[in-house]
Amino acid sequence: MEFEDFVRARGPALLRYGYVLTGNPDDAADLVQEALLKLGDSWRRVRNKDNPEAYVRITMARQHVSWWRGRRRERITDDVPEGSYTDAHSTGELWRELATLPGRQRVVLVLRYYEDLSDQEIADILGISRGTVRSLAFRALNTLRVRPAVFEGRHS
Amino acid sequence: MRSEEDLIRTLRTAAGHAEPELTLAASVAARRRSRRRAGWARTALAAAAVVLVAGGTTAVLSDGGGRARPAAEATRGVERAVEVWPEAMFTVPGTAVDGREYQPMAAISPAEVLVSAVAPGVKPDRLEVFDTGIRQFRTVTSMPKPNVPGYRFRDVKARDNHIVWWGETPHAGEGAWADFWYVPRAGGESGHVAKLTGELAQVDAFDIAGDHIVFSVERGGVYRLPLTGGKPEKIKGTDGLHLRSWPLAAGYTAGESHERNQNRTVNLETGRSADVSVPSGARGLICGIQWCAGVLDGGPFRQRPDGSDRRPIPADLRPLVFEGLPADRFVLGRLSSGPVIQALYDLTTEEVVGLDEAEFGGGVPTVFSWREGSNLTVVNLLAVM
Repeated sequence: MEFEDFVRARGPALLRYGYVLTGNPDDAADLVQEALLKLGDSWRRVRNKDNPEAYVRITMARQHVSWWRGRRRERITDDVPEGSYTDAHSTGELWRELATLPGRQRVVLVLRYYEDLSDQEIADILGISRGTVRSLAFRALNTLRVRPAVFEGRHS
Repeated sequence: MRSEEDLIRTLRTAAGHAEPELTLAASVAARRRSRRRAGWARTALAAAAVVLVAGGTTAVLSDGGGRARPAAEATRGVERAVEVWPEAMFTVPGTAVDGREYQPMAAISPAEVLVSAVAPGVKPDRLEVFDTGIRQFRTVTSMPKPNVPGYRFRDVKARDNHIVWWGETPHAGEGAWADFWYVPRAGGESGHVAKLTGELAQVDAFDIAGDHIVFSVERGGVYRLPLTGGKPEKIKGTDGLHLRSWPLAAGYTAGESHERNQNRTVNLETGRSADVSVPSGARGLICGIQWCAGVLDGGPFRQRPDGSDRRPIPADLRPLVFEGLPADRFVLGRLSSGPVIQALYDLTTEEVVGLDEAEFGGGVPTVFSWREGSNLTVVNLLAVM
């Protein structure tokens, strides 16, 4: 597969992932483009040895954490997906609250609940311990008033 | 307190609202070229016209020269589905008796909708059919879930006596795989049909044709696979074609996936190919049997495949791109102005019908739903009169 084919085939999914990570479309597009440029530079190596999509997603998660450190939260939220006649616990409200989380907490939640990764995998990606992942997730869930469920050992 | 499922749903809903309309590939290519020419140039980003449609935000639409051109008049006073299509709407309990949450996946007839029941483990693990005639759910099968982190259930269809669904691992590329599952429509035990790897794992559309699954892949090419399992076999003469609904497949002009135009429709049973009339300057033209829709002069438009009846669609509807038009009659898009953020444009009546933040199933959507308290309100597009 050539780099351009990869971008074409996986671009939409990467933009969705970027949007969930960053919370707004401009940062999502920036993040995806930066990560793809990096991938493009090392395409042959990554294509032959690794999984290019995993490489991009990991790059995006790491890049976002480092961006976050250097930025203030300029945009609290995008107005997506605001509810209108859904119930009071609409996804819009929770989406807005997600935007108020510190960057690392948000990334951990996205990797855990959107990417469906285990805490160990998240720890490996972000270069932190599994205990730190758990404590970041715990604090984030607490802030969002989300009750952690215990099932299947999914996050173990 | 909220549950983890609320969080998962929020993230997925948000992701579903960030649909790229065009040219990520083009902008990355432009930035790479520009970097090669002049080293790292931050300004290339502005010139490359990143186009990302995400709810509520103004999309940067560029036709290459950086001009964003308005087309038709904007939508005013959008009526919602409940007012326009009462015949196609019904309300059911949002959860099964065992506490699993229902998620409508696909309409299979004007009176039947396929629904998955989602356990707290967030993967659907049971398939049911809701029959609006008798107002009852019927369990079709339990859905075995491959023991792979991140495995995603993608789409389900029912034809004649068969129901088929497919799923995939989250990270495409080498090592990725997709698989198909089968169950008789009357219900029973589900069976694993096949696991696809490599290029074949990049499924972009599928359907059921008699006792075969037919599917196409992102690079183009249509394959058939017996429901009883075995190896997929490429259907002759389908290089570059993408499946619509059997037996129709679409051929495209060269170009980026969201920019290219469908320029022919091929009947894979008869081998007959019909050209689509593509106006100069069109982008992203997609056709069903009756209708086509795409972007022309910076705004959405519709036409018949032969080019007749060509007209703009209300300018503030930014179409989401699927492999086909929902129910061969609708264009799903996001509204860039007003309180309604998601809407369907009915090609037959020219009405724009608001859906708010309804969720929809995989593939080309035929069913939309949203939660109101403990109930689920559902729109079945096949039941719209």
